[in-house]
Amino acid sequence: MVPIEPDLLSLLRLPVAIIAFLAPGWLLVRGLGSPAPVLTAVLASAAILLNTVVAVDALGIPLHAGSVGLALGLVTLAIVLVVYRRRGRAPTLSRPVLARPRGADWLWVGAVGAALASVALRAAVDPLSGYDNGTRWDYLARLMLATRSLGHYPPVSAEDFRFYSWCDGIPPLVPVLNFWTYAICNSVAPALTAARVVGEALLVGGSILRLAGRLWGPGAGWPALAAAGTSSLLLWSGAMGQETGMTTVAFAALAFLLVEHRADPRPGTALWAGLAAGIGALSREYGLAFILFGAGVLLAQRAPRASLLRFAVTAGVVAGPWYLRNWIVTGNPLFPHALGGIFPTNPVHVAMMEAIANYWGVGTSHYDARFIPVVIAIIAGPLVLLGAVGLARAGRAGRPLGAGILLIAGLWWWSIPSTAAGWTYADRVLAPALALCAALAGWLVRTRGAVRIALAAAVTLTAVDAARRSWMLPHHPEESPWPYSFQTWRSARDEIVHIRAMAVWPVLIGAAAGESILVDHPAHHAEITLRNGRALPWFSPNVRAAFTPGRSFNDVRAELRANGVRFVTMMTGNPMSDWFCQRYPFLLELTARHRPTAQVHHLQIYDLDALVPRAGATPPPP
Amino acid sequence: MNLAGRPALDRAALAAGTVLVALWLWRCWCIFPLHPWNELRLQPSFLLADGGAVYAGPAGGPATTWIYGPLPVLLFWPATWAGDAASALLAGAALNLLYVVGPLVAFCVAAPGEAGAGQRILAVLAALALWPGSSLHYLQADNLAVSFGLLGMTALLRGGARAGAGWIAAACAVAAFACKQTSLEFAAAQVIWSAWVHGPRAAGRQVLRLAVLGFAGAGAAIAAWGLEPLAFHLVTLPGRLPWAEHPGRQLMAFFPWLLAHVGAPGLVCLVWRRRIWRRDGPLLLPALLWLLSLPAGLAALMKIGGTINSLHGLLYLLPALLVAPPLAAGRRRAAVATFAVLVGATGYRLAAPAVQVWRPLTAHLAQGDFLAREFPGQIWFPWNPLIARYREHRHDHTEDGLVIRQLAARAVPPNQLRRHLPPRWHIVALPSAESNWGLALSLSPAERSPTVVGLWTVHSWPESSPP
Repeated sequence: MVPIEPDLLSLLRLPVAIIAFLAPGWLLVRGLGSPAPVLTAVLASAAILLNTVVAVDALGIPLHAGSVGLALGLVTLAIVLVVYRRRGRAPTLSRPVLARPRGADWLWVGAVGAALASVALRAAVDPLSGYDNGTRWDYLARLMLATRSLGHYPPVSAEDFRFYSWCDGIPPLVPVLNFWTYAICNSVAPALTAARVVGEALLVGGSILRLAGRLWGPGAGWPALAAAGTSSLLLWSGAMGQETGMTTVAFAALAFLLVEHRADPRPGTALWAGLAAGIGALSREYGLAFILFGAGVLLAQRAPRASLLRFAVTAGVVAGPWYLRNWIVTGNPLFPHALGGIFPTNPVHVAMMEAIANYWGVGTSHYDARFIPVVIAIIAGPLVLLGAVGLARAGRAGRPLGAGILLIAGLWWWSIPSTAAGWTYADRVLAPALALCAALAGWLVRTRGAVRIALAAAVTLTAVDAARRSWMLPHHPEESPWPYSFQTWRSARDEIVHIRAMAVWPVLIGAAAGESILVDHPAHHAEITLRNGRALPWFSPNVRAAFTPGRSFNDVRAELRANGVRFVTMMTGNPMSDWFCQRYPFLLELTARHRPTAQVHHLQIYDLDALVPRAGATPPPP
Repeated sequence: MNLAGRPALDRAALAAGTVLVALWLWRCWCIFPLHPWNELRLQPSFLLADGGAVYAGPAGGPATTWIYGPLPVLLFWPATWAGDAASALLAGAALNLLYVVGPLVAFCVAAPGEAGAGQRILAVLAALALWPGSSLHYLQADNLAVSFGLLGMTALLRGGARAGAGWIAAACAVAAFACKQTSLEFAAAQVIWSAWVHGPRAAGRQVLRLAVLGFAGAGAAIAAWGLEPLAFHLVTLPGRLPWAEHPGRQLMAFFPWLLAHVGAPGLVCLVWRRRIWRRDGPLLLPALLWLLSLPAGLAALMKIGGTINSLHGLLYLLPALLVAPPLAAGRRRAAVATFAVLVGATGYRLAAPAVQVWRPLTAHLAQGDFLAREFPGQIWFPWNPLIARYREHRHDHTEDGLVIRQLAARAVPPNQLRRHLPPRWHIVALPSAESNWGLALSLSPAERSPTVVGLWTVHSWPESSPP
């Protein structure tokens, strides 16, 4: 039994997990030399850990601390033998980047302190606060720990969907990092992930620091970091404990390495840029665009062929294995994206994405053109403004960053109709662009006298507001800046805890007596699965009959029962479920013509063995 | 202008930009009649045309929404020549566009500087693309105040220390004040600018011109409408409107616009301060205007019901920046960036799904006229006073007018309330798609029942029930 509360022993093991994780990357960087040693060491370690886990799993070896640790040890040894011992220690390529602040410049430091404290405290006090951790990112880490395998991911078969609820093929970099922490610490205490989250925040800061130094000179680091602290969106995107911490690290590192390569075109720098782009592609599938971006910038720089080759090969080696595995397991390297029907996918998932786009998409009846600009301005506006001025002042040097910001903005716009949790939740995709804006804001260092003091004071005040506001995201982005209270956050938090603690789950699992419960929400699937019940999502092949046109109600009901489905649960007021009910006759018949067997808050429960027609409803045709 | 490097391509780009902006302006004209606010703000011109009291005393006349200066009432008077409410609103929309676009074009064309014809046309187009949509499809006193500010600024920047320019600028400052009484920034800015650029004696002369024209204008207004009613509408009512209940929330609700109107110009004025804050610079007067407009604009925003139209200082600075950008970058880059902004802004606005409008939106007015014809003397349109005016030659209270009076603790006395409602009032008609203050319904009996008739929600109760 793995303990779920942090204890002293697990905390003492945490440094071991960190050191063992960092060792291969650090040795690689020491052997090859890097313009940003810490940053590239962590990225290399992350790439090595993920690919090691994938390889161990592919060999059929159970995943646990011992097997993965041993494999990681072998990789580390190989690095020592092949790279470090043969080449010896490479010369230091990095330059000092952080100047000691003087006088009013301490205001910048205050803003940075507020931002870092905000992220660290949220990560420790309210760890894994992102909605999808419970069903996707952290859930997969726990599933790997429980099943000692990645075998159910990506989910394709009915058995896979018993354990994993959503049609995902996203590379599991964040889940693997959490898995490693939990496995070594022998605890699944969520607070342990705070080490990863704070580490990501420091790496984003490090990238901004180096990029700003390259653009504006060595003193630009503190103002740029302070500017980063003014965006509650950037802080929340990391503190929430999902993937956007890593996408931001990867993209900011990539941007720095590309700018560095332009100033000092060493093929080694292009290799590290390829690593950063590959990590982007391993953090989230849209990160594949980072590779195209990096290649495009290198081509625009007229980089030597050796640099281009190192960039492409490294990115391919880092990211390729996962997408190859996806192709082998699902028949689609970018599962579940069908890419216009080129690759196979899950038809119910396609319908679900249509339902989400129908509700949240730009141009739908629900769309409010005023909401998005208001929220973006509040949670990122000052930083974007400072970045825009920087872009205008940076001249040619700022062009790749401008292109990068445009790319991320495009990805964000594309993600809006695909995000089930809504617009504010989709805004986190913008985080990498905000990191670039922060680096561009390094022009603040060129101001003097009273103007500099006034700007530093304004930035610090905004950062103090952002430090609290990030805690209100994604529910209350428009929260008033005063009184400076966390009451709203507490209320929202209590509400979520209340939903998770619904007393109905153990009763329902007991009543199902080993049979399955069909659910319309991934969080419900996770609750039931973690309580050792049997849940099925709509995407499962076992319930495909319910989403097949032309089947009668009784026919579908009989097939569901034959496949062991006893209960169907539906959330009232869920727009996606409502859309499905309108589209699929079985769900419409079930909800319109039958009374729920029980209703607990927003949860309606239908027992397929004891359906009761609503008063006045005509019986369904046979 | 050197946009694409070849004159033919430059002309094609300008033509494309003109088409985009023209489409945007057309859409603004089409959507104008839909906003009940425009009907409320045209009503004073109709009162003027009908011989009614534009500025009635506390106990007289219908309660209107107009708590601004008299000049817009006069300037929109031609809209009263129209034959029906829809035509009046479309005429008002055309006048509004003329009053906003005309001075902007005049400034961009006549502002001193080295910019060529192409760059000036591009500046006009980009300014219109970035201009607040609310100024283009809402009738606002601020629109006219800004327009007079732009005209006066053109006169001062072109005419320098010449007396004629000083007189024109002073007249424009007085006119701006006569549009919206908080628009004092232009008077203050021209005095400070005169002192900064031409010395204290020039500033003294400008103060004198302002005083002469100001007293003349005020005297004419008092002679026409009387001191007490003017003071009641221009000072007492707006002065007594309470502050917003939650200033923090108000601040957050307008945050993007605050960034655009305060943050961005503030950064520009700081970053390019050496190019802007100099005696011989063409951006000094616009920057002063922006800065001096902030206190009153921000204060108005924090009043209950305050909105972004009060914060209009950016509209002096924006065209000036587009005609004479402070960027050291090459002209071609500046032109390309301006063109990209033009295309992006108009593209975004034309693609916005909330306003997919290509024909004038007047169907609700025809339906309202039908209702007024079917229920003569019985139906009150609290947000659409022109329907009753055209159908029954009657000016009723407007809900916003009553709310202003109530918020300012100068509520219309109960015995006066019925004097400006339909004689057999037992129906309230509200546009279904628009929000309202709820006051009109609160005056009606509880047993009223709502019925949706076309684009209207009609609340009615038995004619015998006393409201």
